[in-house]
Amino acid sequence: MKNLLLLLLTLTCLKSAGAYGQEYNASQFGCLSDGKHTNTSSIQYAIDFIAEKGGGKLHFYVGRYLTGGIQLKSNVTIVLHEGAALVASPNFYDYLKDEQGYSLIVGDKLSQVKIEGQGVIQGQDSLLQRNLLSLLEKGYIKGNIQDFQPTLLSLTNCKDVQVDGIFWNNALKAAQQYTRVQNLSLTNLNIKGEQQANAKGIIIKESKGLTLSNIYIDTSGKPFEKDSTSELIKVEKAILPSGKSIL
Amino acid sequence: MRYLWMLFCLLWHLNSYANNESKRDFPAQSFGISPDGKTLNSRSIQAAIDYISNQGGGRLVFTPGDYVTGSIYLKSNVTLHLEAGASILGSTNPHDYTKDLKVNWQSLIFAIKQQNIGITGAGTINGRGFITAMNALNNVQRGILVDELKYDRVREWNRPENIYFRECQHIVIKDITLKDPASWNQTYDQCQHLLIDGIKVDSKSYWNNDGLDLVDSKDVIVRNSYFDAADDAICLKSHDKNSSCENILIENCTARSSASGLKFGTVSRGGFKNVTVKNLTVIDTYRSAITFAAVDGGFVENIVVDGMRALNTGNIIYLRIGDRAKDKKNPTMKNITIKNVYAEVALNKPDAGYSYEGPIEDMPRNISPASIVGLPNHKIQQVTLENVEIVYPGAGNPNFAKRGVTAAELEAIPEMPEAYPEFSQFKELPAWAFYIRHAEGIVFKNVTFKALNQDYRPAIVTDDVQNSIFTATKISEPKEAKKKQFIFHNSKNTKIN
Repeated sequence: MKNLLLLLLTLTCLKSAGAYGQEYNASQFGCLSDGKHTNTSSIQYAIDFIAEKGGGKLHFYVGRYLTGGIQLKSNVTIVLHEGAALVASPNFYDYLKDEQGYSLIVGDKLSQVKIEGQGVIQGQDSLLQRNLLSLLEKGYIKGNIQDFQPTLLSLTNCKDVQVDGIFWNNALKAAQQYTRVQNLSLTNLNIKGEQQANAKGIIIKESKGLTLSNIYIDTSGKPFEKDSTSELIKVEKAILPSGKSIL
Repeated sequence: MRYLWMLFCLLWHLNSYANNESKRDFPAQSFGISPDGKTLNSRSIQAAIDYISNQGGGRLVFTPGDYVTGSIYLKSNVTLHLEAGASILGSTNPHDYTKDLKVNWQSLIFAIKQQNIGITGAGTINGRGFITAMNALNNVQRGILVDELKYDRVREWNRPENIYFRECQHIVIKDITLKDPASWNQTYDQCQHLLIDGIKVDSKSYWNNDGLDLVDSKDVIVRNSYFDAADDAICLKSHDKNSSCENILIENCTARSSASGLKFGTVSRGGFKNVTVKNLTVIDTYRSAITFAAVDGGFVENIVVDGMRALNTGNIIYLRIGDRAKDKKNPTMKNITIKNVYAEVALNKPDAGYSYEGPIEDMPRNISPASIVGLPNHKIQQVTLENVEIVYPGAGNPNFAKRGVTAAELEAIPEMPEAYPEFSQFKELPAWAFYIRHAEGIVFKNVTFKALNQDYRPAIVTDDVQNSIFTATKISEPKEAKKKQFIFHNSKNTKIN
């Protein structure tokens, strides 16, 4: 009996250390919540550190965390608690590039990716647009402005992705973009982007096993874009300001 | 009439505020206090204060320069006088601050049980609190300081304020600029005969950066001052259930906040009585222009707000009784008059771009109405709104968030007696202009509500409100000439003239 208890205890410990991972606060990595300090390297350091330890949750509590582009890792969950905002940099050079273009948060070839909570991911679309126009005018970047406008989240070649909760505010190109993602669950999302023209909500390509539930999208551009090869397996209450379905 | 008497008493007390001007001046540098912006002057400043106090009093005068210091204690009959261009800079090393054993809190400038003291002049006290707070947090993370951490921050009592005075009498705070503390900015706790005149507060460097905290203090005048704060701008608190804030006049002040402009509470154990607020301007404020909270068993009574202009503000009026007290005291709120008000509620985030913006929370929620919300057993009594105009953006969209006006939907609004009192706490409310619940004796005289866009909700909803009178209440909403703008649920004796 005693041994059985011990075994159970050991198993419980193993489970909490392994499958569920550890909990980490953003401040442990020197993240500052004043909305002014750029936290890019601290957040990236935290994600890499947690991934290396076998995964876990990175908690952001109420405050404004300014950041440039960051790369997600497998088994790392970003938790934005109520009142916490990841504020996207207004500087184009702070964004990361992948096959889908420029983005604030990117991930490629990952599994068990999760972003959750009642917090906010805050684009600074107007400032960023002005920044892009000025870079184009000076000739520092060349081509179509659309090719440089970032999304807030871009995932490619990932599986088992969950985005739950979160207000997605004022993205320039689109809030979220997914290509070749398997098992994608999008729940309890609020997406707003009406300040700049043609800001889209969610763009999905070549993806399978897609669940949408309790989604509200209010954007100046297309709220939801999906190519013919992507499969929706479940859609419930995904609406526009008019109350109509986003599909 | 009773308020006139109160004013008279206050004015009579004016000449009893501190006056050390007629006494000797002592140049700070004569004590070896260095204006180089580097030298830590704590000990030399303390020596100077002790010396002047022992000599019978006078002013310690800081000429232009940067004076770095940790905690110092002001003593009876001493005024710190900061000339224009003189700055007292808080040390950024948390170890340079004392946690006073009496108040169990940290501060740059303390005074405990002293009389006839002041801080005057056109100079600045700059706590440089953000850096200090970060250094304290690093100490916790490195395992060298024990703190429970809340929201991943060091608790407010383990970060220094700029000023903390306790049980002091005859105080003058005049003309100075107070900047960037690591915690609240200035607390006057159980003080009496306090004059705050012509000060400027720039207090938005970190979490809990209030503009002014009057705690259980009596006979206070705050006037001609400007408060720009990340947390509540002008805040009255009651920490002691056997004490209270009484006889307070706040006039000709401007408040800007990423929380509330004028707040009573949140800690409200004793109470707030005989407070007059005149000619208050509130701008770019994230939460309410006015929040009065009785949530810890205390009272709020005989309060007059006469003259307020609130522009670009998230909410205008939030009166709330809650019940967080563990000793079962009886929270009350009565005799509140708010008159001569013009206010515009913001559609977008009113504090966008300010340092340490307020957090987005209690979402999804359309623009919240002003509210008066008591509890079933603790009603808010006798609230008069007179000559009030509030302009709302309207545009409430039921697909984004919805609260209907059926009995079931109204009664499903939670009571939340133990929750933190905030205008947004109920998330979506069923009215676009005013929501009133558990109250009696509500009088609206010549009150105008204007919506700039159509809203799915009615203007006014009452629930469990007895004996209310709406005289000359004007409501305008585009394209809604025939909409039913008043919903009285479970309310008796309602008159509309």
